Amino acid sequence: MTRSNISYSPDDWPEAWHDLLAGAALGDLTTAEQTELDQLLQQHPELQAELHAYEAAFATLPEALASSPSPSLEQRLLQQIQPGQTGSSASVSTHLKRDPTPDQASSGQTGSNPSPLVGAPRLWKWAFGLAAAGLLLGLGWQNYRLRQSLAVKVQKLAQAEATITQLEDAQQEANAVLASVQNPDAAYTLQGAGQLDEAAIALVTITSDRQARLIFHDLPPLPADQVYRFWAETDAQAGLTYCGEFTVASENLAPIAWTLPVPACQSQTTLAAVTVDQVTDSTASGGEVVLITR
Amino acid sequence: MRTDFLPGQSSDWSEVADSALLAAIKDRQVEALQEMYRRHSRLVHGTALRILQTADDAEDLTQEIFLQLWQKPRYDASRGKLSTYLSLLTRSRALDRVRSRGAKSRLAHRWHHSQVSSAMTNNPLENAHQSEQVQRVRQALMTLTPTEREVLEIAYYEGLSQSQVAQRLNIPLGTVKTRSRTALKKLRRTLKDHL
Repeated sequence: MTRSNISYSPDDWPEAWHDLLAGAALGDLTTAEQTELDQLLQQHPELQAELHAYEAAFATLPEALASSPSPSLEQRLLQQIQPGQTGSSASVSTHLKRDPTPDQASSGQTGSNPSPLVGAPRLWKWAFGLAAAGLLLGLGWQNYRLRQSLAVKVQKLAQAEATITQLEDAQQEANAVLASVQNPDAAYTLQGAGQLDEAAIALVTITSDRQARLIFHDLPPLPADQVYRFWAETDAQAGLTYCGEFTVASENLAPIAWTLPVPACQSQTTLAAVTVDQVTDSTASGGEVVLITR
Repeated sequence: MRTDFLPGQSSDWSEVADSALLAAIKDRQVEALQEMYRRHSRLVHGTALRILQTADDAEDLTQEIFLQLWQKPRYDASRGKLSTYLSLLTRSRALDRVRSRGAKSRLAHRWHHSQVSSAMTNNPLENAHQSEQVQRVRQALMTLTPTEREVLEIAYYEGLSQSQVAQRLNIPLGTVKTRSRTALKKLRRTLKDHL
């Protein structure tokens, strides 16, 4: 079997590389994985951009929940960076120093020289004005709180709707899996060969979304630089076709799922096999066969 | 499309790219900071509010983040987009605050009671852009299964280690690892043209 050069398009990179990049963005790499990633980044500097893309994807989470601070926050920020020079305070002082209006001028009410005869009513006006301003401020604050509370309810409703949609999708997916299991052309088992003769896997291909689901038994985890690769031969195509790769973890027995790379992988299969390959190996050919259909 | 050129005195800063805005901020141009604030304050505030859970704390941190941008901007463009930097910086600061006040248990208790405002600004164009991005991310999140989204959100908003997440959800560590990586790979693929 021959090996071809590795493709540098992210879509063609081994899934294990994407696992490492995702793990790095999540900050959950083991020491061995970090060493492996460092080596990969040295060998393939273009992975650095992809690592940033994974970090950016992780950082997009709060964008779904973006929310506006209160309108006064921008003003407070500006006051902090340039005390006494902000727009609102400037406009207030301009207003206070403004010349009296023609009506005020003709009546002699200039603010700086109040008439003793109208002093008491003006005091009441000021008190009333202050009370009204306080009331408005209170109402404004309550309005802001109510808007926030309403927004929380709207957000929870949206989350509930999203959950319902996801459950409906999950039900459809489960129906598709059940339909596939009942189709003998879409479900088959592979038995271990050689050193893995105790191992076995059951695999189902889901035609509707070109997915594969796999359940395994006694399949050992591989070193970090190796992956299991799945191959299939169909009536329509002679020779084994690469149909995706997967890894297993000793502590995780959950079914494994992946997207089948080519439609031929979900056609009626005459032969299926699993090989062990290095993550950096080309998918043009496979390594040692460890599982095969009987 | 945003440009790298700085506007004249009467020009509109909304057309200026983040990188040029940052350069203008370093030149102490207040209008540039105002535009930066209008552009990213919803993201910063949303992140802070989700983690800190109270409007006052979220506003306080939002102010702190933009104040730092004005006083000591440490953003390195080669590390990714400014919005990514601001989001992660806010997350880090918010988690520091939560840890310092020992409120992890309170945070956990309130996990399903987050206060989030979806109020919009008064700028229709800005609203349209933000709304588009919000919808895009929400749709991307909907491609995740509820369990995938759960581990990713706990990792992001609570900053728990994977073993802590495993303990919290009572599932194996390997499952947490696989689930969170699968979730992030899905997000990456769904948003690949918008990162």
